[in-house]
Amino acid sequence: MAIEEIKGTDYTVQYDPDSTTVDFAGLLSLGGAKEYAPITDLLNKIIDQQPEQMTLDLRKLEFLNSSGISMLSKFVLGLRKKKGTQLVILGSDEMPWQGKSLKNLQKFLPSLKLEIQ
Amino acid sequence: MLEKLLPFEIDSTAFIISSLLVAAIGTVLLYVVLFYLLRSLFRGFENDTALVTLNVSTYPALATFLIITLKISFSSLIAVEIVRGVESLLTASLIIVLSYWLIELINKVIIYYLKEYTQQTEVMWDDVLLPIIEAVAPVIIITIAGGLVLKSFGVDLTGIWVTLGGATFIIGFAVKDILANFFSGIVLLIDTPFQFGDVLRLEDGSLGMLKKIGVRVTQLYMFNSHCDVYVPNSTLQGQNITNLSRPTSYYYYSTSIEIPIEWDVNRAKTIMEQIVLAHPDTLGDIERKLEFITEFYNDCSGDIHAEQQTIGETRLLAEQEVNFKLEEISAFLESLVLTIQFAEKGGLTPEEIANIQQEYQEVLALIGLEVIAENEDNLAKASIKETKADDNLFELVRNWYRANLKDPNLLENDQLIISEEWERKINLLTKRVHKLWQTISNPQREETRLDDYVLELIEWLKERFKQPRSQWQEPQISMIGVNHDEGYIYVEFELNFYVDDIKLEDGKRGSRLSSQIYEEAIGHFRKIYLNSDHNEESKYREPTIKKTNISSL
Repeated sequence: MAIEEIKGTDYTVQYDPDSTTVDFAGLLSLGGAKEYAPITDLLNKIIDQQPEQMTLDLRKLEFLNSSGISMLSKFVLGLRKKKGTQLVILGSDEMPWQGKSLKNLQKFLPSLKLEIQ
Repeated sequence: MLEKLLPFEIDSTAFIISSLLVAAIGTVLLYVVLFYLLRSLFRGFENDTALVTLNVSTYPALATFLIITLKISFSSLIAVEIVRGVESLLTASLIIVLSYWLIELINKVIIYYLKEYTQQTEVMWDDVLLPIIEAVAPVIIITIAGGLVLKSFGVDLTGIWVTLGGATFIIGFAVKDILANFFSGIVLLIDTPFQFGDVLRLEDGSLGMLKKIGVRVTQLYMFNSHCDVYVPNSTLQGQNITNLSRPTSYYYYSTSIEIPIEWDVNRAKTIMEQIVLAHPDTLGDIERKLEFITEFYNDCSGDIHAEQQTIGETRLLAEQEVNFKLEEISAFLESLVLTIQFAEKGGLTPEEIANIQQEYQEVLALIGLEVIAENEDNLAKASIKETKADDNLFELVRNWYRANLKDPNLLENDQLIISEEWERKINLLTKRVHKLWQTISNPQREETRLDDYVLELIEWLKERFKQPRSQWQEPQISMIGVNHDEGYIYVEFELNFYVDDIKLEDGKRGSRLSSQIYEEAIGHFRKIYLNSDHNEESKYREPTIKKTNISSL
């Protein structure tokens, strides 16, 4: 299957169907839920296919604004009802925004596999 | 002052008559202002506080004005013994009028509006403190006024105070029981082990609903005898009381049924589980309940059972929608917590506050509220109002409780209990979310606490608004033993289940439900086993309720 990509001036979001991994890179600072809708739709489309595992690779995502974290947390919390899919989030200690925020996310979705490198 | 205004000599008859005339004209003018001008103005107000205050104050204000004017007139007259007597009389009248005015204002305005306020709050102490103030304030005012009146006539009160001081010890000793009850009542209020409307089981096993914690006694409505019982506060404080309404108003019930061992025990167990689940008033997974609800309790056509099941199905569906909506709201709030936790690092920027506000407004829309801002620059002062959309929490809750009201088993009083309870909860939730909106819109020094406030709201929704259905509430049918009787062997089952609300049907909802479940089980066993090819009639023994335990977790 072909790789899907959403690209903006400062960011890229790439979905690789073979590994069911979504790679986030760059600076994501869109304004509100409406502007994040294409990314939300992509994530929901993937989860609707009920993959066994889904990976969100945030290691190259240098910046995410509060609307972005809101989009991400809504998606992650929505997975509580979909117990068939194991969500894995890859983060990096080098990105200052990631450490605590991603751990907070895990508090609301205990099954989340968080790998911070 | 009058002597400067009036062109007459002090002590002259003309001076007295003219000053009395001034007093009369002033009183008439004040009467016109109070009765016609202000009253018609205040009638236009939506809130009746001003009007009630005016009604209460009109005559005392007129009397006060008249007395003060007369006092001024008489004070100008020089040392006539009879005038001094009149002056003392006027001072005493003034004290009496002012005391009466104050008592009326406290009782009819302050207490009245505070009562409305206390009914809307969650805490209980204010509901109790208010009647105490209502009872004590007039006594204090009358005592002080009495002292001042006597003093105005030149009576020396020092002796009375000294005597009263000496008598304090004797009075204290005489009323020690009353004081013990009073302080026990205060402790019960501060400790708040129960709230008004909670169902309590006393040490003797009797069930009662808490109606009032008074200064000396606590009033309980006993379900069995349908009467009020007044328990001294100190006695109540010393008892081990089970509060059946906490943490939920769910009510644990246990019944046992025996069946002959020759019957298919597993099948019988499954049927019993389905029968308990099929009853609309037991707790359990709603989807499973809906699966069985039409299969049972429908034998007697035209009976109350059929209506109970149809209405039960409607309200279970309505409850399911409420549960889904609450789950959705909780998820949105949790997401908001994460956004706040993310954004609060390094302080909230205006853009982040706007984003949090926007996210919170989504939650408000799910609840059924919207922000009405007159001034976009000051959103913290915006008001919050209910929307007219259908698919919000408030509408779903109202649909649900209205469906509950149709339950044919409910008593008339239950209708009021249910609607009042839910409207009160809706009101409390509105207040809570409004307060949170104000903090979110203007976080100032509290920006690091916002996430905690949202978490508190999530907790409150789960604990106090509506507890989500959990696995522990599922009915459980367990085989507890084998009994021998007249050569036959019987297997004893215990049916454990939760009844949805202990307060309803005068506390007898559980007994009615247990009886219906029992009847239905017998009906089914009769159909299955007594009409079967095997002649098991001789072995059949009516299952009996061997024990009916009621307890709350």
